Amino acid sequence: MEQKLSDAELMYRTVADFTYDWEYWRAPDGHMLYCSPSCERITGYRSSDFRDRPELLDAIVLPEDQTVWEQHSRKVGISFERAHCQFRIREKAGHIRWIDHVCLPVYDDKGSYLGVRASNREITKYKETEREVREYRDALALLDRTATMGQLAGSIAHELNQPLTGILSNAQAGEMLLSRGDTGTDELKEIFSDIVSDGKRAANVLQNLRNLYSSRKTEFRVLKVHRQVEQVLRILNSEMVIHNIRTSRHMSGSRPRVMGNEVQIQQVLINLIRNAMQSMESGGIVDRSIAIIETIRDGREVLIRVEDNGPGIDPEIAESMFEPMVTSKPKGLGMGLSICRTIVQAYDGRIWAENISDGGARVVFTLPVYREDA
Amino acid sequence: MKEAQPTVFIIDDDPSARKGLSRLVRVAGLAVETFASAKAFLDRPPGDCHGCILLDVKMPEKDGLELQEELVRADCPLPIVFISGHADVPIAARAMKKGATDFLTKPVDRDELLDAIDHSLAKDRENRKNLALWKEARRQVATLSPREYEVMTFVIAGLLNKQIACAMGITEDTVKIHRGRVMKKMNVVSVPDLVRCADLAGVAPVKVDE
Repeated sequence: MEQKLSDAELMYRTVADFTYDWEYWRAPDGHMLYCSPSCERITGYRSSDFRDRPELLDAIVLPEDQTVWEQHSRKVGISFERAHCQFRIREKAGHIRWIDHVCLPVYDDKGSYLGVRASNREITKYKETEREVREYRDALALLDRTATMGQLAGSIAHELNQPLTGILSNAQAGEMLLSRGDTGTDELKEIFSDIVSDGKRAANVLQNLRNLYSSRKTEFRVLKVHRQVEQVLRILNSEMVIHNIRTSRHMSGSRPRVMGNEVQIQQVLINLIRNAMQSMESGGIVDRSIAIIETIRDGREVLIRVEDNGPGIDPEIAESMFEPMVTSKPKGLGMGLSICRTIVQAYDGRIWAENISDGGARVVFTLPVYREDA
Repeated sequence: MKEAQPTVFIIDDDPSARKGLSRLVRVAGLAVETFASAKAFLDRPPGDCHGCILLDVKMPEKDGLELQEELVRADCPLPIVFISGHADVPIAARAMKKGATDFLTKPVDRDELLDAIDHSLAKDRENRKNLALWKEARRQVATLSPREYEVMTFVIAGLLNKQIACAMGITEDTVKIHRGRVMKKMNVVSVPDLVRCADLAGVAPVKVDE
């Protein structure tokens, strides 16, 4: 009987001691009932350290992560379920380690609470990579936004240049007339009327710009989708003219509304339309057109489709085109579609792309319809 | 030679720019014709074009650079001043390489614009004068007999009458007679003038073996 018991004990002991992750069983009063030797690899402390000093585990959790750890510990005490959290510890030599912690409450046959059985995996490397990727991605997103702003600035400059040319030329022609004393004709009157209309035209360009990037519009509001499409097409109008592209809009009659940030939603539209423009440019398409189509599905979702008649999507990148840094453009950063996806997903929407059977590409994104009662 | 009044042809798709620029040029005392596209300009009956072109770069359908290339191919002699919405160095370089007289950016100041136009009109006059001289030289060459033409190709190669006579197998006196007729028909009094005139008409001297 005694032999049998020690055989079983040996077996369990072996199973427990030879784990790679750090395993422990902690009593309700905080005592370590068991702590696997692998804790030394992760924390620098020996299992006896944890057994002798019940407070050690709580003490090595970083101050910043104490709240997470305490909330987790409280929750485990009152629930009957598996719990999970991630926190950082300072190991014995002073280095910081990320811990992925999963635990289960332990009960005996009679249902008495016997503490917590936990597995701790060290995930420092993984966390660091994650942070690097995020930082890289943020930096690239900023770059792309700057690039987009640069393009917009170019297009605004072009839009402002025309009325400015009109104003300056008219004013200087008027000066010449006046200095000659040539004031008897209707020419001066016409000059002033042209200056006024050119001035209004320039003011309009600026008003549209202000509507797009004014700071009060960073908040979330209920927006009409068709208005967003209209504004974006107005902004991109001169680029469309320059690139000789026809645009058409097919908006749903019920004027669906969505909850969102105007700048972000317009950014999605601008990115998609620019992509369509550029693909047609590089594809050498002569008769270029872009259609923006809005439909509603089940009364719950707005679908916005951006269709072009360009060369379509290269099957090689079709799968990954929404991933950051994937691009088919020679000078592209590969951030445009990735930003679109991030924004759309933040609104619980979806985004995907497909080729149109008659030629061209279609990118579709959905946004949940805003309803007062919802 | 009597010249018609030069015209400034303004080609710009934007109504504000087109209207303002044309008024300024008109008030400065020049004749103006305006066009809203490259196509509208090309559709214009050719007639006696005389003056210069003020050309916008970015236009829908055919842009300014494409129109320039087409005009160069068609031997249109009108000098071109480009006027662009933004100063794009590669585009400006391309335009100048193809023979544009100037590349201005919008909005353009009056003095800069009128200077560029003056310069272009001067170039146009020069082109026209050279063209007239070329036409005249060609006409004169066409009046020469085959023999006179042959003698001329020897004369402009710098050969003496004796050498020409020897090369053509005729007497020196006959060479002299032909030579006299060439000088008269080409309306020149000296050999250097004849060389210039023949060069203008595209007549090559005979290759003389040393």
